[in-house]
Amino acid sequence: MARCLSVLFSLLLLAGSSQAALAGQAKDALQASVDNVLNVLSTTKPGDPGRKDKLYAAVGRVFDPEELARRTLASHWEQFSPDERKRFTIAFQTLLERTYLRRIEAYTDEKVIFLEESTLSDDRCEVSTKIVTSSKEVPIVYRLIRKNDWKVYDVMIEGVSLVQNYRNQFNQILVKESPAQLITKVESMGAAS
Amino acid sequence: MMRPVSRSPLLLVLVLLLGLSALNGCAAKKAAQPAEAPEDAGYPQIADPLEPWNRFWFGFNDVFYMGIGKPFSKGYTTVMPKYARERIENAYSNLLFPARFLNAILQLRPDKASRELGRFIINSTFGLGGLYDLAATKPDMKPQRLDFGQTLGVWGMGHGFYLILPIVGPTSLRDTVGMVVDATAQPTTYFDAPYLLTVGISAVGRINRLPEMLDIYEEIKRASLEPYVASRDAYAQLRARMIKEALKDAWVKTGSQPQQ
Repeated sequence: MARCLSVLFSLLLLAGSSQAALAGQAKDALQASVDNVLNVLSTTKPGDPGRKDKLYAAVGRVFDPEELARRTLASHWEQFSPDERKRFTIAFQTLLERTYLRRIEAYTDEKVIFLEESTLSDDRCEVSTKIVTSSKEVPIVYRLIRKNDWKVYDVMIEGVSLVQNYRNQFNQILVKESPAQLITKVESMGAAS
Repeated sequence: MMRPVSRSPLLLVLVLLLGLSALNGCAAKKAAQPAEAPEDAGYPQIADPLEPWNRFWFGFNDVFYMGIGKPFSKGYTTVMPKYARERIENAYSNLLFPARFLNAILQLRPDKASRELGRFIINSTFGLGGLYDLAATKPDMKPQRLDFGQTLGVWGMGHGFYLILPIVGPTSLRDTVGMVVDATAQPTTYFDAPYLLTVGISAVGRINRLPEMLDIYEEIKRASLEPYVASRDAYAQLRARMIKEALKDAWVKTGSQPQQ
């Protein structure tokens, strides 16, 4: 009986540790990317040549633009032709990069703290972080999916999901307009901002 | 001195609450979306039957924020350094302690109520009347967000519908009721303080929050293709999270878990 229990226990322990190892990977991937961004921010100054490209590269490594685009369009994704999907993905990625680069650049004395991570399903998990400044804390939750690496497919700032927020906007636009018109809009916003 | 605030808001609240419970049923039906991809499930939505009205005030507020709010806020931040603004925010927030304390009790959270009380005592004394948030240096004494709209949500009440108020901005029927109730819990309304003092304190506190609020608003505007839809969704998600957070670690399970 005792042996039986100990075998069971070690099996459970093994199962637990492999689960933890898997989950840890997502956090590590995210942390590597964040460290990279912080590194670029501290070693270069705004306006330095190549700074933007370095930041895009550091952020881009952990994001999955197509996954983001597909989830944002949800059921509309099927109505887009392969060419439109490609154009939309690029336009949306540019829009997000421009928007969030501006936010990242405003970064000064804040600290990024990595908190717990939880498993959502076999290939998905959630990593909680918070940005801490002298006067407040902003909780940011990343949702990651495992493909070859762990890739971010949604970001929730103060509980507001980026994907959900854009999905609602695109739904509204696609009620009256065609996919091509939506792509043009996204492209022009990415160029303007 | 008479107390002009005490009676009429209470009546208003009762009327609004009645309306809210009547509306809850049909609003829930309106909020139901057509079939969507499985990953959409679980994301909060908010019914918006008053969309034309809301869009009008959204446009009005935009002109107001950009035309009057922003220049004013620029002047304010030049006159008031960040240090001064943080002191004002702390003091204002400390003064709003009774509302948070009451909401903690109404949410059946003695843990949160005692934390509020502890924060209030520490910050009012050693924190020089709330100017310094000394309590926040302890991890389990950090500020909490408690309001009556949230309390109603904790007890299972839905938003009713989305509402944009002139100047105030995005809210919902439920959260408007919440704002009115929280306002009546301001300390100056229940002792014989002049009405002007209540208004003055609120004005200072709210103006002090304007620069940060405008930053968030402009950020939403810059990042969105449809700022109206973007901020409506952000509001629904933000409030849903605040209610979810409030329900976390609850000792007593209150009401039904709200869908949003």
